[in-house]
Amino acid sequence: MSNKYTPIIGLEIHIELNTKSKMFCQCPADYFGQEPNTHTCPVCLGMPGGLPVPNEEAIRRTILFGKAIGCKINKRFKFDRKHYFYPDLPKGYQISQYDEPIVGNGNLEVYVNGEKKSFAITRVHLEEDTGKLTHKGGESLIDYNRGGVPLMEIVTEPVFHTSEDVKAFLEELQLIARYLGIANADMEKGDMRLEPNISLQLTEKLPELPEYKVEVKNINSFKFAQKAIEYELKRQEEILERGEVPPQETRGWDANTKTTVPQRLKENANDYRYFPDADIPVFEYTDEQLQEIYDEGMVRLPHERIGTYVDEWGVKYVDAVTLVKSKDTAEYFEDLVSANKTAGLDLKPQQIAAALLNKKIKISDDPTKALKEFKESTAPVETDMDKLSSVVDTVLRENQKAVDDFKSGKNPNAIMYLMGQVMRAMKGQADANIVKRLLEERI
Amino acid sequence: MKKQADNHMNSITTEEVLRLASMIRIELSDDEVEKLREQLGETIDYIRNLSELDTSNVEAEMTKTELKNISFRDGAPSPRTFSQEDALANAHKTKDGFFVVPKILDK
Ligand SMILES: [Zn+2]
Repeated sequence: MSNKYTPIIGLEIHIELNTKSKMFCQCPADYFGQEPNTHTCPVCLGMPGGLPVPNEEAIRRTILFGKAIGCKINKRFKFDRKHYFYPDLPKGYQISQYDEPIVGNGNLEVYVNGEKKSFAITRVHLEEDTGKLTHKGGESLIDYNRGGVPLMEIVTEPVFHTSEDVKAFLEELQLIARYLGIANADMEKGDMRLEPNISLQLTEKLPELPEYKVEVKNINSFKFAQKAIEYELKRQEEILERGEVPPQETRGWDANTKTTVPQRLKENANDYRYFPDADIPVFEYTDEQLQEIYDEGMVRLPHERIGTYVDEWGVKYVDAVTLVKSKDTAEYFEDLVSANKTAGLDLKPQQIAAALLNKKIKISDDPTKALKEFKESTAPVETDMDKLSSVVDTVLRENQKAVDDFKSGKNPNAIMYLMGQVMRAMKGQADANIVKRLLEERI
Repeated sequence: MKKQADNHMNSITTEEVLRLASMIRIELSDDEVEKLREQLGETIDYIRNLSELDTSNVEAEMTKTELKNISFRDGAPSPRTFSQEDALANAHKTKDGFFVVPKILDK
């Protein structure tokens, strides 16, 4: 992409909560791999007289997630009906949130290749998932087990400029949801879905937003998220270069052809006819109730841990990022670092991090025992000084060029080569620090 | 009090009736469109009476009850969950445990 255009990308992300019950009825929410239409009732089948009641845990989780991603929590919120006519929605409307969502705006800080970036989030609201349609021949088959499962929708501002930023942001959301234990957030299984709005603006016209945007659906992996965005940017650039404006439309990612194709819209976005769901009284939480939810459910988040590891403990950024990819690994690493201190083992956190990532320390071991064993395995070996002395002399004599290069400053790394030669001749039976000192003395 | 005196007949236009019909996926003949336009217009005019009331000091209310924070505990028993057979009992057409409808275009 030339600098002539700047990509403007906003995101809509859906994450299903893995509660036990559905959002507005007590049917089991777990639908994956279940027999079709075995988790339904009058409420989630939209039968007359069915009365929806919100699942408190789903609300609690959305509050917790909103807090974790740096957003404002609204103490008062309500549920609204969003109308559209489609068979995945038996009531003819979806219960969602319109003007008073649970979570308001905020900013989430994400590390993108070592650089800390901040992305603006508009809101997070809670709604019910729809039934699953399978199109077969001239018919559509419907399974309502998924209908009514709690679904969070996260909406961002159009603040993303590269597919890499989008991917990093998505991965962070997934990680936070998993750290909080509120969702599986598995894109391949459809627990997490991305719908980006993509457009290009002439860089000289920024910060004015473009006059069109294209929404892309059907993205079911992180890899496809990046590919779909890149494909779409290229497609739009070609249209703009011809002097035309890409039409405002919804397109679907086709994983087979690796392209996006236009989708027919069920409805014009303005026709949802939102209004408050009179079946569901409003919610008003007190500051104390919110604080209780944070106290009970908040955990140290991945980016906070990265900050501690890198800034306070001197761990390499790449290693820190790998460690926090799993909460279990991150917590075990922290146990190791504290055991190291308690037992006075004097290992550096970076050494411990590397040992854990190279599986020299296994996550199941008792932290203190694991560290002691690791320290022994890396303890300096007994060095036969007489033998070492003569080996050093031989190596220096036989590698005159490396010696000269090092001496003249032409290649400061030449000493590493010489060390390697000595260690080989010693069959590894020498302390590296002693070898280095001896070499430096005699060059 | 601000009174809305414009008691006009065309409270709803033909275009609006057609738009409603397309949103709820029903087909209407010309006669039906005209009939519905008149009937819906009457209904709207009738409800329009309400706008004569001064509501400037009244706050919007979502429900007529004083209830707040009504929710249920996750994992509570679900006595109302249907068997697959019961869930499908009233369906026009079913197949292998699914509801069946004529093929729908992708959303
Ligand atoms: Zn149900």
